[in-house]
Amino acid sequence: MLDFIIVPFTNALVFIYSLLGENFGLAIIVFTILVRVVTYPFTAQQMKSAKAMQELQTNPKWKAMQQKYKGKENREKLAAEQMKLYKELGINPLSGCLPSLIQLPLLLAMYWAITRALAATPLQLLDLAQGISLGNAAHLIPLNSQFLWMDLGQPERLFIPGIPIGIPVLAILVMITSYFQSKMTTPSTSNDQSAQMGRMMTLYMPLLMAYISYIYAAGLALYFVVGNLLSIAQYYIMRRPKAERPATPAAPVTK
Amino acid sequence: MKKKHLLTLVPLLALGFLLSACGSAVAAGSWPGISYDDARGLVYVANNQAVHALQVENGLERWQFPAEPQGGFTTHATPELTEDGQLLIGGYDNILYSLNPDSGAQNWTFTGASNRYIGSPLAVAGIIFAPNADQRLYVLEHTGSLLRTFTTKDPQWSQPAGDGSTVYLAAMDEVLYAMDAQSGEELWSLQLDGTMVGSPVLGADGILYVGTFDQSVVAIDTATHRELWRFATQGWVWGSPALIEDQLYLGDLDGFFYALDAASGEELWRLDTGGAITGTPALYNENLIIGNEAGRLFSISLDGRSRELPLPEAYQGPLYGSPVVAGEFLLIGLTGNESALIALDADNTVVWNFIP
Repeated sequence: MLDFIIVPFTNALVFIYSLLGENFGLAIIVFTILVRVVTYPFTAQQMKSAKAMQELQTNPKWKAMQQKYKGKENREKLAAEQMKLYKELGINPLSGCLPSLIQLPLLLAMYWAITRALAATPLQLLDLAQGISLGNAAHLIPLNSQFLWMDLGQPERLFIPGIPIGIPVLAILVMITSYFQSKMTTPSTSNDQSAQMGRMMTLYMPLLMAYISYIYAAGLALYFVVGNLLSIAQYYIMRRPKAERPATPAAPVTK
Repeated sequence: MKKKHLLTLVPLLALGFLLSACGSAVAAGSWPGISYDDARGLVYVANNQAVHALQVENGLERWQFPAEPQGGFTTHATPELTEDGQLLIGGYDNILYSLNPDSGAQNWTFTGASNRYIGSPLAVAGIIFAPNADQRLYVLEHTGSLLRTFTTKDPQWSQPAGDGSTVYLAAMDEVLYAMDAQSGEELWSLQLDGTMVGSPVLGADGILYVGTFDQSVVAIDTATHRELWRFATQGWVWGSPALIEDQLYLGDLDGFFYALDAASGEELWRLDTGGAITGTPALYNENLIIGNEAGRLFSISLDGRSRELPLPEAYQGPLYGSPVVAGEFLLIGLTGNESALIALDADNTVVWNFIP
C-alpha cells in the first residue's frame, strides 16, 4: 500500500549506506536528518501552533472569558467563545495535529524500508532485489546490520558482564527523548479537553514508543531517537528569542 | 476508564496495531519448504508455525510438530532426512531440531546459534553441517553435540553440498568455501563476485555449479579450484541449477529459464516465463517443471518446448519454491494461499491439497 514511499525510502537508505562506508547505522541517522529537513515546514507549523496555544493562556481576553463562563453549565458557551477567539487571533487548533498525522505514514514507510533493506528473510530479500535500482546493489547485499553493539535488524539489548539480562538501551533512550519531545511540543496549562488529551499523549506516547523499540528492529529505535533529538533541537532553536522581536506574549499566529 | 484516557489510547493502540501487523508480516517471511521421504511415503512441509508430515497418497496429516503452536517457532527451511533416520528442521527461532520422522517426536535440539536457519542443514557421514544467518556454519555430531563452527563474513542461507569427503558452502559473502567433511578444516576458497543464496550442485565429474546475484552461473573445477566458465544471465540467480544429462537448467529473477551445456557453459535455449524464478526445476515424466512469482507453472521438455500447466483458481498465488516429485505425484508449494501444498498427477489434476 505504501510502496510508493517505501521503495524510494529503501533505495535512498541503501544509496546512503553505500556512500558511508557500508555503515547502516550512519545511513539511518543521515536519512532521518534528510527526512526531517524535507518535513521541516510541517514540523515548524506544529511547533508554532503549540507555541501560540501556550501563549493564549496568558491572553487577557482568554482569562476574562474563563472567568465569565465558569462552571460545567457554561462549558459549551466557553468552547464557542474559545473558537471565536482562535479565529480572532488567527490560531488553527488543528494545525498542530495534521503534521503529526503526516508522521504516521512516514513512520510506517521507514519501518518497512529498514526491514526490507536489512532483508532478514527470503521474501524480504526478494522484495529488496526487485525494488532496488542501484547499479551495484548485487554487491552491497546483504547489508551489514552491525552498528556499535547493535544488530539493527534485531531488537536491541546491551549485555554487560555480571548482569544476567540484556539492557534495552535504545528503548530507554526512546522513552526519555519521546517524553521531552512530546512535553515540549504539547501546549500546557489549560483546562480544556484538547490540552488534557495532550497531557495524556505526553504520558502514553513515550511508553508506546519504548515498547515498539523494545520488540522491533533496533534500526527503527535508532530512527526514533535521532528524530526525537532533532525535534528537541529544533524546538530550542525556534524558541530562542529573536533580538528584533518585541517581548510581548500572546502574539497572534497567522495561518 | 475516563473518556480522555480512551481518546488518547485509541490512536496509540491503532499505531501499535499497524506496527504489529508489519511485525507479523515479517515473521511469515518465506515459502513452504517441502521434502519427500520415499521409504515412509511421507511428505514433510515446513510452513510457518509447524512442520507437517503428510501421507503422499492422500495428503492426510500423520503428525505435526510442534503439536500445538508455540510462540516464536517458525520454519521454512526444507526438512532434511538423514541416513540414520533423523528429520532435521531449522527454525526462525534460532534452534535446530532433530525429529523422529515416524512420529514427529523431538530427539534433540541445538540452541547454539544466534540467528535464523534459512537454509537446510546437510548430513554427510554422520556429521551435520547447519548454515545459519549468524554467519556461522555449525558442524554437529549426529547427536546434536557441537564439533566446531566455521565463520564467514556474511550470513549463510544456502544448504551446503557434499560428496562424502568434502563439503562446499556458498555464502552470502560472495565466497565459495571447500572444507574437509571430517576435520572441518578449510581446504580452499574461491571469490565469486556475487552473493549466493542457492545451493551449489556437484556433478559426478567433480564440477561444481552455482548461481550468483552477479547475474551469472559459475562452473568450478573442484580439483583445480578454478572457474571453468561463467555464463551471464539476464537477472540475479536465486535457486540452484538442476544438472540433468550433462545439461544445466536454471531460472533467474528476471523470469528467464535457461538450458546450458554443463561442459562449456554454452546457452542451448532460453524461455521467458514472465515472472521471477526462485526455485530449482524438477524432472517429472521427462519434462522440467518450474513455477514463477506470477503464479505460472510450466512443463518444459529438455529441448526447450514449453507448455503452461494451468492451476485451478483456488490455488493461485506466487510459486516461489521448488517443485518436488513424490512417487507418481508432483508437489507444488503455494504462498499467499489457504493451501500450503497441492499434489498434481500426470494429467495436471489436483489430487489433494493441504490446508495447515
